[in-house]
Amino acid sequence: MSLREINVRGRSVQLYESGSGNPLLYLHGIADMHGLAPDNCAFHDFVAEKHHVIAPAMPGCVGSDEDNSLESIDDLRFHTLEVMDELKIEKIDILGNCVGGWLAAEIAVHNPERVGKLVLIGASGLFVSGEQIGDLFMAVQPLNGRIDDVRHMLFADGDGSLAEEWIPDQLSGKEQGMLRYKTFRCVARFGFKPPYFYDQKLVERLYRFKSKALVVWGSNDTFVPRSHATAYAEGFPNASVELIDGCGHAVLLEAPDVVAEKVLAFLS
Amino acid sequence: MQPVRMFCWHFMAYPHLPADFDENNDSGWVTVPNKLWDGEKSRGLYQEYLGQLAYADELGFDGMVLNEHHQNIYGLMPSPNILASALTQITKNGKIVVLGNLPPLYLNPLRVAEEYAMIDNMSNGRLIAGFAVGGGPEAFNYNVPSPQGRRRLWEAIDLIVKSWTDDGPFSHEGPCYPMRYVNIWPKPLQQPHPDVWVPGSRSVESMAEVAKRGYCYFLSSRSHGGGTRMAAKEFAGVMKDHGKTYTPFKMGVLLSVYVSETDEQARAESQEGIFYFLRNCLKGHLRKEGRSMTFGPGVPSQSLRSWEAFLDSSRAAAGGELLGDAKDWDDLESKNSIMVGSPETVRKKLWEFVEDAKVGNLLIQFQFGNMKDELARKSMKLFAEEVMPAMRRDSAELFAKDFPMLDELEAAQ
Repeated sequence: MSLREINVRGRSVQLYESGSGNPLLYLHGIADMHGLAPDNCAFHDFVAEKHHVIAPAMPGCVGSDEDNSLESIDDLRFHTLEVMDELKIEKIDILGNCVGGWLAAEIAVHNPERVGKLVLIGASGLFVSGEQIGDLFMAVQPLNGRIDDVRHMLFADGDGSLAEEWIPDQLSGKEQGMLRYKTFRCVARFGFKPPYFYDQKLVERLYRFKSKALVVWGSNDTFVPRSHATAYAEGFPNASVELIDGCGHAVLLEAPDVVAEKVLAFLS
Repeated sequence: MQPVRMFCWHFMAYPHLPADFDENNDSGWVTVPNKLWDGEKSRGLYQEYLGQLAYADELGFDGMVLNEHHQNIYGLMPSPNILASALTQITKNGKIVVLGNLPPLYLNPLRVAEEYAMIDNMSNGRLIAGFAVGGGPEAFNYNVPSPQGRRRLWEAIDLIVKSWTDDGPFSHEGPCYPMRYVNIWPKPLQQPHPDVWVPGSRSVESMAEVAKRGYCYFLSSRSHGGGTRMAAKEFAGVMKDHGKTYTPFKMGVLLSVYVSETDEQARAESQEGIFYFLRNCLKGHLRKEGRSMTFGPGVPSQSLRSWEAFLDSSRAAAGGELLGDAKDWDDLESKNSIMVGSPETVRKKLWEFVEDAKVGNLLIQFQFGNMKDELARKSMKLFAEEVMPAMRRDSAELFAKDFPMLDELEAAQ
């Protein structure tokens, strides 16, 4: 495992790398490595047993520089292509979790030539009428000093110890408080204003990605409802869905081994 | 020599909430159910509040202050410019301070330039033009991502001021507000343009933006004690870094005052309105109870540096105690945010404040929550007759002693 910083057009980007084997570009989400934790999680270790995992932190997250010009998912897509260019990656399998899944889907439809296989886990990005993506920003605003709402939005068991560990009420030390703030500052740039964490036209463009796609979803996801999994799977010409029972949006934290098994089977 | 300037500030709170509002609602902002609006009881409410501001003008206040808030019970002024235009017709002397419009919420800041120019003409040159970025609730109401708010604010302010001072038509490149034809009619009456005030809560970034343009910095923080003095000192330092000279009139501060015949009477008369304000109006804003929409990771409006400073501060350690968290009257008094008492007591407290902080623009809230019209007016009258004259006399002496360059600066303008 290595943690290093690379320079991408004048900005520093923190990069996590681990494992060997077929390379896999990992685009992180919120309750995830780089999002709410500085380190990798069990899921990443499972995947790194078979793959060379390359995971850049989004602008402003952990050690990556902020980018004040970041305003839309398209800006983030270009940034990610620049990271790939810097790493001399022509074409690669991509796994995207949460907002990283949206990013991965955008890259897949705009730049299908650069994507091998695609895995989306609880990906935002689509508009499904009547099935709105949750208001993460309101949910994380303290209610009577507690942020239960965001724990319930991201975890199937919002009162459980896993949720509490990842999203404590009190800022348990400055490091975690800063990490959380940085991540919300980053995702607010493209997700706070409409379209709220989605791209209205993305669903009609999914047909452009002809390679194999796997869509993994926690069956109880209340941030990005599971109907979005179906919409992704129907939009891609060559996709399959794996629903993980009893899990929420943070499915790869809740069932790292189960998700890793599905992902590894798909990628192999 | 110019004495301290005293303005009458109004929030225009919704005063008809049920007694159990606090128990049954998480917030007075954004999601507060508008079925609580009672149209019949509210008949004449704006007339009452505008009447209080017109009364301030009669009493000799230096001006009247309005502000912009949306979808809340704290301040019924989604469009302060509508109220400012009413004030142009029912007041004669005082400045009309709109503090401020929130340009990041608008698609086109020229609308603000135009409306302010209208108000300046309609008031015969009495406008003070305030601009603010908006708080957490406004971010939710108007879909403004906080990290981008400041960039939009400053581009809007610069464009608006340029539209007042430069001959049009000219084009503006953006990036937030590209515009092919900037050519406003009318232009403001005051030359080169109305004074510009911008609020901030002590972030160095905001202070620097205000200082380098020579505008007036308004400290919007509600906790006083030594905080205002520190802020004034910081702002003076930032002005110096930008080659400008600090004077007390480059800064303003929000205060809350209630005056009655005696200390006991003042407390008895103001208590209900003040606690209505703290418990209900500040719920969702400056109160830990309920859904906070002002502080928290969901409204990442502060720079990383400022957030880090916040995490390091004693306030974070104390669990983020805010003005609305005052447990009782004694706790409130200890926070030093609301000055209540006889004219003598208030004069003393206010003088201590001015002497300590040396801030020249005092923006004073007299009406709290559901406070009755006659009480707000009595407090304003006692203040104007028994506090204001001494404040003016003593502050002129103080400023003359501490800021000898003020006369030269005024003469140079």
